[in-house]
Order: sequence, then structure tokens, then C-alpha cells
Amino acid sequence: MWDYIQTRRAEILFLGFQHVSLVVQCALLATAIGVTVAVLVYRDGRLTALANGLSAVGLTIPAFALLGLLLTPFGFGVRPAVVAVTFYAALPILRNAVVGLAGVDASLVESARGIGMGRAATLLRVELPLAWPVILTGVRISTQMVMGIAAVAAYVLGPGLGGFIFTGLSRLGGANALYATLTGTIGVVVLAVVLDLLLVLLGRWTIPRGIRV
Amino acid sequence: MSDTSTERRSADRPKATGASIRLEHVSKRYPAQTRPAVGNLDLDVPAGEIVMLVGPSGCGKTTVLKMINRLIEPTSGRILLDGEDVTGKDPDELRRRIGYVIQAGGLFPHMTVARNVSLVPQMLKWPQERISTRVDELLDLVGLDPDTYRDRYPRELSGGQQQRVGVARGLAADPPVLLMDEPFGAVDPITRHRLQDELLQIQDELHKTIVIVTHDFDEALKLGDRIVVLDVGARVVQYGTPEEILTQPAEEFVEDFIGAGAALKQLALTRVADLELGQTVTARVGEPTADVVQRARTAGADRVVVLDRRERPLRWPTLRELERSPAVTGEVDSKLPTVGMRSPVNDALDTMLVASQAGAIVLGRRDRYAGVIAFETVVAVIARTRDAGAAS
Ligand SMILES: Nc1ncnc2c1ncn2[C@@H]1O[C@H](COP(=O)(O)OP(=O)(O)O)[C@@H](O)[C@H]1O
Ligand SMILES: [Mg+2]
Repeated sequence: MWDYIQTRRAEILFLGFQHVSLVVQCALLATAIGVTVAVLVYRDGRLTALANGLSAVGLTIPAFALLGLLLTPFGFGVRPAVVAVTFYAALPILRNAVVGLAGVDASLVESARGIGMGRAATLLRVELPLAWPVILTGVRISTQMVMGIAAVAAYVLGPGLGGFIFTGLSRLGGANALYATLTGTIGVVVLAVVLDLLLVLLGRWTIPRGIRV
Repeated sequence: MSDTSTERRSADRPKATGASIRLEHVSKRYPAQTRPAVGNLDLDVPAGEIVMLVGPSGCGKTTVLKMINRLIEPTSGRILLDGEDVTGKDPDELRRRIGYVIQAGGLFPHMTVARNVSLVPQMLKWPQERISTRVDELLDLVGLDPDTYRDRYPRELSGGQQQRVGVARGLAADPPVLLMDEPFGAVDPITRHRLQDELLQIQDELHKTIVIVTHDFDEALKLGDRIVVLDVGARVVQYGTPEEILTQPAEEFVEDFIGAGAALKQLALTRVADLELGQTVTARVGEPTADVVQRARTAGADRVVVLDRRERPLRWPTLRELERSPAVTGEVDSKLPTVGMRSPVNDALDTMLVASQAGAIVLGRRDRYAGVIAFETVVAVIARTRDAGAAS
């Protein structure tokens, strides 16, 4: 196994980098989408229920199926991988952002309006900062989840460590097949742990002392 | 008595910095409600006065208050600030000119005290330097040491301190009008009395127009230059000075609201400032104890009031307690019985009883030492008021 890794070090590092890069970029995009949609729906009870329902149903769609379906419009490669990963990543972020925004004490929002903050300022300076810890938790859940989904995206020839896993699984029994699968899997797990740690640090850095738990 | 106190107050008061508020035929009907929450209300709030809106829960007090800064849009009617109709103005700009303080201060927990207080000046685009100076000035005004509290977060403060910061934030851009919705509802009674005293001290310096919602009639008597007694639908049952409301209740409704013991409630009309204040020996932190004791003995005092650098009383030890250390130390007695100049005498009595002391220290502006008041003095006033009540 060690030899296997040594001989493919450059390739592993490159694919690992691609994997993380795909996940991080999709998570950023998903955060933007999830928070935007949450901002649009959280004031309205029915829209909120709809968003929560869709996000619950969305998470039950098997990643394989979705990737397969995406092949028709996008073909093989990075694009269906990005779309699928972003889709899954956005769902927990959306749900948490709705919960976070709805959980902001109504008297604080009224206080903000009462001292002359406009709607946008209230959202940007009071509601989103107060919802941020919950949103960030959503981002962490998303990132963990889509580390695995990004591996599945190798099925449509997306970038990342999934390639090792699929190569290994397709040649199971052959020489190095197990090593390939293990390398891919362990790589994904290690990167997931590292990424989560970075997100915890991001929380430390972005959540003000006044609302840190 | 009321005449002399009004004269005295207007004599040493500069002109009010507050603006008058006028509500004309104001109504508010919430969707899907049969009765309007506020029906055709007319109200004149004179500049520079504290007007209390008092009435049972659900009678529309909050609705009236929030229509003044248009957090709630009136269904019909006009609202004038200093004669200017504000019903068509930009609501955000209007609100920056009207301080707004809610229960527990409504502070933003993710911002420091300084950030909370500086929000309105920032929106008004004051230069940064002026904002910092202003924040310190305001914290000082509400009795919080700027160096200690500036960088704290709201959750690091007690309820009373949060409320003080709320008041500082409301006053930040020096608005002519301050609106307060049950501001002291969330703190314990002792803290509430202190906060009320401090508000009166602040008003003594600033002369804003202040409208306060409360369901506590005693609070209304204590703080109000005038009181509006409201019934369901914000119907004005009576609008008058505390004296008028106590001595000539307009309807049975008002009498019920005043409750039993109207005679004793008259005590609320006698302020500490109306009584004879005693003077006692004071000492500064760091002074040699021997000097202080000598001074006290000469004056025949058995206790001295220890003051900090800004003349605020810290404790009230006996000479024997004082003699335990060679120089006067700066410990703080958190249970020190203090009352404000404008406190009603029944508050003074409460304070003494809670502290089990036969006197209380009277505070002037910015909590500075103004004198002491003796238990006997207060008891004598109570006896007189009771007799007057029984006679009438
Ligand atoms: N947003 C609202 N929607 C519908 N009804 C309301 C709303 N706010 C207050 N009310 C009703 O209006 C009446 C007056 O309420 P409010 O002004 O809060 O009274 P108070 O402050 O005196 O307790 C009450 O009957 C209350 O139920
Ligand atoms: Mg209310």
C-alpha cells in the first residue's frame, strides 16, 4: 500500500487538491444560493414550509441517479459534477439559514427598525450576523456530506479522488485494486476532517464573542 | 406645592431641547380585528416633558407609541413633531431623529456596547472621532464607566446595565424625542428604582420630550410630568398631572386603576427634593482615616459617606468601621441605600427598609452626593399625608 501511494504521490496530491477545490468552490456557491433563497422565503410561512420540504426531498435523491440525469444536458466532465455537488450542498445550508433567520429575536429586528435601520441594513447588520452561527453549522454539514458526493461524481468523470475509488471498484480482485479504493476513500476522509477543522477556525474568527457559545 | 416645584424647575432649567408631539384623530385598525386598537386619538405632548401612557394590558399603549415613530402606520390621522406632519416622511430618517428604547434595551448581542451606542450616529454619517467622543459621553451620562464598559458585549452586563446602554443608544444622536416601551419592566424592583432615578437625573440635564409606556401606575406617578390614562381602544380616560389624577380621578376607571390607598399614593407626589436634606461628613478615598474621624467627631457624626473621585458615594461606614484601616479605602457597598432627588418619598422609605438603615443617601446629577435624608423626616411626611388623606 505504501509503495502504491509513493509511486502515485503527485497524482494523489493533484487529485486531492482538485477534490477539495471542487468541494470548496461548490460550497461557496451553495452558501450564496442557500442564504439568498432563505432570505427570500423566511418571512413567509408557506414559502418557508415549501423550501424545507424541497430540501428534505432533495436530500433523498440518490447522488448516482442525479448525476446520471445530469449527463443528458451537461455531458461528461466537470459541469455535471459541479451542478450535483452544489445542489446537495445548498440543501442543508438553505435549511439552516431559514432556521437561523427565523430564530432571530423579533424584538431585536424591531429594535433595529426602531432606531432607523432600513430593511437591507437590518438584514445585513443584525439578522444575518445573528443567524451566522447556525448558517455556518449548515455549511459544515454540507461540506462533510458533499466530500462523499464529490467522490461519486467521478462516475461522470468529474475531478477528484473519486477516480481512485471507481478504478479500484471496477477492477476488484486485480492487483492494486484494493489499494486504489482505499487510497481514494482515506484521502476523502482525511480531507473532510481537515476541511471541517478549517471551518471551525472560520467560526472562531467570524462569530463575535458576544454570541459565541 | 406643585406650583413652587414647577416654578423652581422652570427657573433653573434651560429651554427644553425636546420637540412637541401632536396626534390628531389617529386611528389604527389591525387587519382581521373588529375593534380598532386605537380609535380617533387626540393627544398633545408638550416639548421637554415626560408623558406616561398608562393603562391595562392590551389597551393600545404600544400601538400608540409605535405610531409616533411609524413602526406601525396609522390607519388614519396625522402625527406632528414640532408642528411638522411626519406621516408622509421617510420612516427610517424619522426614526433616526427619535430615540427608541424597549424592554431590556433591545441591544444587539453580537455588537459591543460602543458599537450598539454608535449605530445611529454612524447612520447619520458623523465623523468617527465625534462618534467615539459621543459614546464615552453617553456611557458617562448613564453612569457606566466608558473604559470598563465600552468593549463589553451585552451578555457581559447585568439587566440594569443593559437597560442603561439601551438608554444611551436611544440618546446617541441627541434626538429631541425619546420613546420608551415598558423600559424598566425586566429588572428587579431595586434596580428599577435606580434606573428611574437615573432617568430623572438625565432628563434634568437634557429636557427631552419623553413618552413612556408603562402598566405600573406608581412608575407613572414617579416619572411623569403628565399621565395619560388609557382604556381599551386607547380611549383617553384622563390626561393630567400626577396631582390631578390622584386628587380628581375623572372616572371610576381611574379610581380602580389607582387602586386602594389613594391617600398613601399621594406620597408619590412628595419628592425627596421637597424635604429637608441633611448634610453629613464626607470622606475621599485615600484620605488619612484620622483626619476624617476628627472631622466627624467635631461635627458630631457617627458615620461618614465615602466618595469617589467624581463625588459618587461608595459606602457609608461608621467611624469604627472606618478606623479599621489607616487610610480611607475605596470598597463599594452594593447595598448602599441611595435615592434620587426626584424620587418620591415612598421610594426613599422602601430603600431604607430594604437596606435596614435609618437613612438614605440622596444623589444629585450623575449620581453625585447631594445629602442624606433621615428616616424620621420620611416618617413625619407619611404621617402628615395620612392625616391629610383621612381629613379629606
Ligand atoms: N400586530 C398586531 N396584529 C393584530 N393585532 C394586534 C397587533 N398588535 C397588537 N394588536 C392588538 O391591538 C391591541 C392593542 O395592543 P397593544 O398596543 O400592544 O396594547 P398594550 O401595549 O397596551 O398592551 C390588542 O388587542 C392587541 O391584541
Ligand atoms: Mg405593550
